Amino acid sequence: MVELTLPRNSKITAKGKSYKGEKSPSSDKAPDMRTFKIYRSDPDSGENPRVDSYEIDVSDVSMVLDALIRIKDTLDPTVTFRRSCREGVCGSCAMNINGANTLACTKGMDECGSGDVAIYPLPHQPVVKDLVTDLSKFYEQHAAIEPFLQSRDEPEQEHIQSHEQREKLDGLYECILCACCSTSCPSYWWNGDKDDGNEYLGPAALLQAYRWLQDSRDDEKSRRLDYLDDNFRLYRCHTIFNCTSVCPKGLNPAEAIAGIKRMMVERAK
Amino acid sequence: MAKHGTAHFIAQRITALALVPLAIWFVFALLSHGGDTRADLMEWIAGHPWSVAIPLAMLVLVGFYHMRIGLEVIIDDYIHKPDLRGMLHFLNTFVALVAGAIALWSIIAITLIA
Repeated sequence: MVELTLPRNSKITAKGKSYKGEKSPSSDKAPDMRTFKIYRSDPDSGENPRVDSYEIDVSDVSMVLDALIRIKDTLDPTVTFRRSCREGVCGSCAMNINGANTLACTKGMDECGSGDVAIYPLPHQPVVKDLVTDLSKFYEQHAAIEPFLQSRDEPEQEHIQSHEQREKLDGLYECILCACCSTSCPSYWWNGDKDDGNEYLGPAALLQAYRWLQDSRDDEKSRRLDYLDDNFRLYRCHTIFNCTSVCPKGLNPAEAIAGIKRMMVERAK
Repeated sequence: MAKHGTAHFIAQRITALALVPLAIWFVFALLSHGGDTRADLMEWIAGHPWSVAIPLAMLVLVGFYHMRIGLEVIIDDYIHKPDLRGMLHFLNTFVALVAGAIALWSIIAITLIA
């Protein structure tokens, strides 16, 4: 039946610890103490996850990622999270902040309201440790849509594309594969990795599938559509739109999926 | 059940569109026969084969087909055990076929036989 129960050892039952920081020495403003409630899990230890509280001065902190780095630097070096570019380009620091998936590096402290800030890993993914999730399946699904140019032309120099043809890729190629969209989608939670190869590819992979379907230089449209013509791979999208509302790059995967469905219907005529 | 999603997608939308006028007609038709007895209703169906019996038969056919493919989506979404899913797909088709056949036979019987 419906899987409503959580996997073993995944409920937050362990007692969380509290850490209290001091006023930031580098800040010349009045201290602004804020509490961050961070999901802590170490599956290897066999213990259940817990939520630890960290109170730090954020008077000179602009982004949530900066706050996380301050917590790791000054209070608890064991807090584990991915980060790299700190400017919304690499997609490493995707996590669930105050209930919505986003990039910690582009989420401003001024967008977090005035209360505590809750930070959890991306939903419904296996947790490696704390805020780090295992995205192997997600990357597999991206690979499955063959995200590369397949052209039968072999031009002497470059493949020529008009401005109009190029513009069709705007809003599609910018995806950084942070997984915020797919892991915010309830249909992806339930069907992203179902059984017997029945799996919903999720908004991120489908956005990229559409990116290659829209590419004037690509000659494999028909084969790409054949692969997607499946009740699970494509048609598990029930237009929930969580993907579009959380995308930290402001892209619209839901529209791209609708575009694929439109291409399917036009092809079937 | 997993393959050829597009045919399923199109069928679901076309039947939904067809059900809009059929359902509206059905509701208004029933409202205008509020106080009728069973015999009146049978007479109403049998007496108007083109304007009542045929739209009613279409409503039954399209409605049960739409119900079957709609439930199929819900079963695929929520049932995680492959065996149970297969069984429910069979049951879903079976119930829709039997219920549809009984309804259709009733309309034919009222119109042509009774």
